[in-house]
Amino acid sequence: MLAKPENKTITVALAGAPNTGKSTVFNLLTGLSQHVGNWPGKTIEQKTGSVRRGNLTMNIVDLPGTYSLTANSAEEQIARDYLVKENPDLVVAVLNAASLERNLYLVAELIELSPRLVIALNMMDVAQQQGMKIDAKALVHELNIPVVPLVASKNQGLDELLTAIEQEYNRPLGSQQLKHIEYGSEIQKVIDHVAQLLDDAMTAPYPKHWTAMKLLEGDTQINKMIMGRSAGEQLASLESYLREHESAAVTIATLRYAWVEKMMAATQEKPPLGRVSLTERIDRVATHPVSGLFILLLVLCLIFGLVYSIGIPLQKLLEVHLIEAGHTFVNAHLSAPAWVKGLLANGIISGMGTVLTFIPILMLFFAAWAFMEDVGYTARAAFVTDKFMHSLGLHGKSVLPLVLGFGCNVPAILGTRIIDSPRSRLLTILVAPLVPCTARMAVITLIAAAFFGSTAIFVAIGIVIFSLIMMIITGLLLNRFVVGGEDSALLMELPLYHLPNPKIIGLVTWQNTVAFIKRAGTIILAISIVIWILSYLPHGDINASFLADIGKFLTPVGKLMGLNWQMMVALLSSFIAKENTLATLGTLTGGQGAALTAQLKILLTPAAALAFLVVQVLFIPCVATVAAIHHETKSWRWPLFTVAYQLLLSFAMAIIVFQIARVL
Amino acid sequence: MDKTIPLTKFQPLQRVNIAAIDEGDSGLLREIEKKGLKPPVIATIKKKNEDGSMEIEAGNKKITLKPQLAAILLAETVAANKFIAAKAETTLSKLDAGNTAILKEYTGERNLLGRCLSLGFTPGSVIKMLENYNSGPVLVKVHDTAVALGRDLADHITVTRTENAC
Repeated sequence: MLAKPENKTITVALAGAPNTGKSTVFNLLTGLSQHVGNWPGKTIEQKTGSVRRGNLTMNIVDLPGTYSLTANSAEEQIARDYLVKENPDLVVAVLNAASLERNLYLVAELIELSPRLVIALNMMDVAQQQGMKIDAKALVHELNIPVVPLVASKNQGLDELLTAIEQEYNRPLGSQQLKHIEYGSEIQKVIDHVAQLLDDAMTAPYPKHWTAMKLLEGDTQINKMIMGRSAGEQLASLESYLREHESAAVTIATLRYAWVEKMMAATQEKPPLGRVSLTERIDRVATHPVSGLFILLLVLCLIFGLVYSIGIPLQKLLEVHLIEAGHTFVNAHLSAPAWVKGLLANGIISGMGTVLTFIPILMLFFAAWAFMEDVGYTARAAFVTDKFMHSLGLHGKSVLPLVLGFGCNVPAILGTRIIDSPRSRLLTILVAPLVPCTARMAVITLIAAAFFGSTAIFVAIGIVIFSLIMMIITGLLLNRFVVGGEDSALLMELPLYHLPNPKIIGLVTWQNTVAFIKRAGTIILAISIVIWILSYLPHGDINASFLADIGKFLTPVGKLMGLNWQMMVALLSSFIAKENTLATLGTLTGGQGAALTAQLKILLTPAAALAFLVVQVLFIPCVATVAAIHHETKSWRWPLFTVAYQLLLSFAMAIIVFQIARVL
Repeated sequence: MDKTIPLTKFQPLQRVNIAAIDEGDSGLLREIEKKGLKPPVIATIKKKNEDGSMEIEAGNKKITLKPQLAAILLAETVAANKFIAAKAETTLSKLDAGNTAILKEYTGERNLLGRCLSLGFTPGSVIKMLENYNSGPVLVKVHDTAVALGRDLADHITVTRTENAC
């Protein structure tokens, strides 16, 4: 009888620099089997998934994109700690064939950790377009590592990659030696000397020799660890030796690049000199301070056009067919106590509806974002806005989450993860809630239309601009007085433009949407129910409820803005979600649609309406946004700060506007 | 700087590198600094007067030196290639679009050094300036990829210009 092959599970880590198509490779390998979470203790996404091949199950871990394994950033620390501590069975290095020189640097670092390695040489088509000829066989010969050419964006070579992983895993260890990098005897002596000053207990779990090298490279995390573990004379001699050889960091990196160049000479035929690539030609326009900004503006207009022409009608459709139909059904066909009906209709259905009706708009924003990222445009947008963003203490990359904020502030705050400087990231998180989201726009549009007739559109645009000015002022103030720390300079690769892959855009859009529903949906639903309870208790009459009590308590402040208690309650309810303002006003005044407009005209003077628009657009962020700020800053300090700051700002501005408008 | 001689020994039209200052009182030293002649400075001798005073041109500026000043400035002749070398060294932020240069040194903050190195800004690397609009970030090509650098960062990378090949 034949022995049945055993089922086996192995762990495969995907390593690679940004812009190598590593996520594409990961997405195509794992499809919808993937799980998205966070790396322990970090706000950096961890993606895992699995793929089955015969009796071999491969659990694939997508490491953060990094250029090196020296802990210059949290991403790099995660990547190398995973490799050292979790010891995956195999590492796949995903390289961009079109910028092999840059990418081989990471291979040099990976080799030092001596894992089982397979190289996935992605974007072979792009390299060819650039006129580069790459000899994958020569690379195998030079490195003693299996190399698989890929065109992941066209789904080519993935099967071969899986075969190579399987073969490499089954190859007995030691049958083929990795060729280590020769650093030359001079620097080798220095590294050896540092290694002698260390012992294994000090460097665990990192290899001793590797640790010595990282110390010389000025790796802050390793340095901190070793200095914390050594004392007395050992510490003193180590410190002085490292100081003496401070330039070793540059030497090691230079030697690594020299090794890379040697590899390049053997494997790549360079394109003829003087060729200006299509990317360079496009960039002359796309990164120009004038035409670049113009293009960015055009792109933004296109996105908003898309959202308003497709997203908003879809939202309306869902509202009618889901929420209103739900309300009608509960009220007309359900025989239950009034409070059950109320909870179902106004608590649960409205709460879920808030999330559901929002999804078409968000998906459009996510898709537009994924498209720009896939094509390679996002880095250009960051480039042209860097100068302005820098003056606010922000970062060129801040522009992307802020644009997303026009859709919804929650993904904007999650999107700040792309900013590598912690300080700029925090500042972006703190100003993002002042970007008027579509929900606030809905309220602004309705109220402006009710009060300002033909000038409504200008009032609405004015309010948006006003909010953005407040955002800029807030940025300047926070940058100057509140958030400490060092500014960080822009330093990023601009990838080559390439044709988008619809499959990838679809997958990314889907992942982001699911993440939003999980993150924001549950909170919005929970708070919707709480607010409904507050509006129902103690007597089942909203006009005498706890919610009304809170509104009446705020009347003195409201008066300064020309707002009565109903308007204050409506404002408060925007804490659940900004568009709730309208629903609450509807409930409080007993009017919907045209009736609501008529009711509003009774409740508000035009001056008060203007003040209400101001307070509404600047008011404390919705609960999902506050939760996102808490989640991303890992503290209560900043979400509470944001709430307090925007409460003060919105009231102050609304009072000023009302008092001025009343006189005019 | 072993073969420097007093500036007074040079003849008009000679190009010199004012490399050092001989002993002098602090008043004279301040005067030299004020005239923008803090070594090293490349200058051209314009005129030698009878009284020992001199007229020179440095940095497109005509400067008159009184005898006491001319006597304590130590200079050397500038070989043609050395002059180019001195002029060729600049910061990355001053490199015009289309020009190439070789990276010499990173002089900025130590905490950004690692990121610069891993992106390929190592000494000896060839850098081609793609876009530089004299404000805002610059775009360069290094190790076959386009990299954007904030202006602050580009200010802290010294490079040596190369003759433009194309």
